[in-house]
Amino acid sequence: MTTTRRDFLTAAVTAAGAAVTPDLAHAHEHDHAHDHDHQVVPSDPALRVKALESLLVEKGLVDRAALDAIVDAYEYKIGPRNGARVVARAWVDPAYKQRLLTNGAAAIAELGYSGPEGEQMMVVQNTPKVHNLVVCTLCSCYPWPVLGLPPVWYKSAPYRSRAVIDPRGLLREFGLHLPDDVELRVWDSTADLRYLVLPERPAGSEGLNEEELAAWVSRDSMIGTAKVVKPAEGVPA
Amino acid sequence: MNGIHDMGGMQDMGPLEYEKNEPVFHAPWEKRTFAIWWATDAAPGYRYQAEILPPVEYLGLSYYARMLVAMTELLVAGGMITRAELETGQPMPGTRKGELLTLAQVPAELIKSEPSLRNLPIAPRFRTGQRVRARNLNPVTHTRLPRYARGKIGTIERDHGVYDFEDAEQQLDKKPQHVYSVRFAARELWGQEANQHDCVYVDMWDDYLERA
Repeated sequence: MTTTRRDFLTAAVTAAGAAVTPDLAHAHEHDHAHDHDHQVVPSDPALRVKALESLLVEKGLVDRAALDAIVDAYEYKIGPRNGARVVARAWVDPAYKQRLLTNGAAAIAELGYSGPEGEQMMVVQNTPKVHNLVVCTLCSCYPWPVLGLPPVWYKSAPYRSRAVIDPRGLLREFGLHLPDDVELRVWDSTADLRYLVLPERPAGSEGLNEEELAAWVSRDSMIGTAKVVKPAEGVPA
Repeated sequence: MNGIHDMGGMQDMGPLEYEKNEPVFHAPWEKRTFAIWWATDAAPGYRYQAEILPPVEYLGLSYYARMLVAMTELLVAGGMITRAELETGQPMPGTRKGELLTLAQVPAELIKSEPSLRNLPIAPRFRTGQRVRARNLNPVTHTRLPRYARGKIGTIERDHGVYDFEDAEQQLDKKPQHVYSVRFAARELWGQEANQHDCVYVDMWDDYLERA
């Protein structure tokens, strides 16, 4: 059923063929056509998407209530609190941690988290000698089931360009100063795998239960641009 | 495509802008754009549509604005809507019908993991620990081989199994093959100024690699 859904647009586009695989000889022509077309649709994205939604609804191609449910899920349910629970579980349960590092997606699914952009997830572990940083230089790939949708900076040109060539300089801008002898591993999510960093459990967290630990785990620590630290009084991670 | 999207290693993109307590979406239109993209399953093919935007346009548009433009192109290319319909806002006969995602289907779709890992008896061309060179390929179509890694020597760290080849996404033959995590020393990629302890792991299909 879903396979059909997923394949549908691809199949349609493949059938349309040359329309989306322009050869370079016609690239200019193609662009001129675009320029012209763009003038006849509203330049304001709010108007454009409203027009597109109305059309798709009228044509029976989207259901407004379904759109609302999708937005609601990504705003309120699918976010970094999920990943924080995974990290906290790994900190208190060595057997779970082992499963998490061996088969990330399966262990994450044990806690009920799965879905698009998380079919295959690899969890990479920080230690006193190894620090991991996740990027997608080509696009904005990100492990949605555990972190939700990525923040603007993760999708931005400065982050995507510098994470591979100047990761230490970039981390300093995040306020993270790595000692020179710590091995920095940058993971460029170029294929179908998505990456989650398992940060180090911080000092001062002894005696906390799993739920309390999860509250300490920030989104950025699971991307690798921060370490987990004890939250300041009254400030959520 | 050697496009602006392939920006790993560029140095002139400006300072990082970090927003504290950032909301998931910044405007209602971003929510609608994302939801339509999700509901119409515009993901396959969408990236290439974004990648062929003229560089000035690509850099000038926000992530969701790019999504809106690329998705619209894809829906038109796929025959779901026509430009005439977009202009008039009126449905016309003769376009393709899509499969509607209903509200009732959403909860299951949100947690459904469609297996991208293929269970196919395809032999790996490389083994863990082997030294490999990323091939110098410059296709004008969609590729996941970043420019900064081309021609560089790395080590196979892990065999992730068999996946469809994303470069063949628009083709009928999906060319399933092994994907590996390939470790490149920062000094191999960026020269001796780079920290000797640093490295970049890139996920690569068999077709990207040759023996080193």
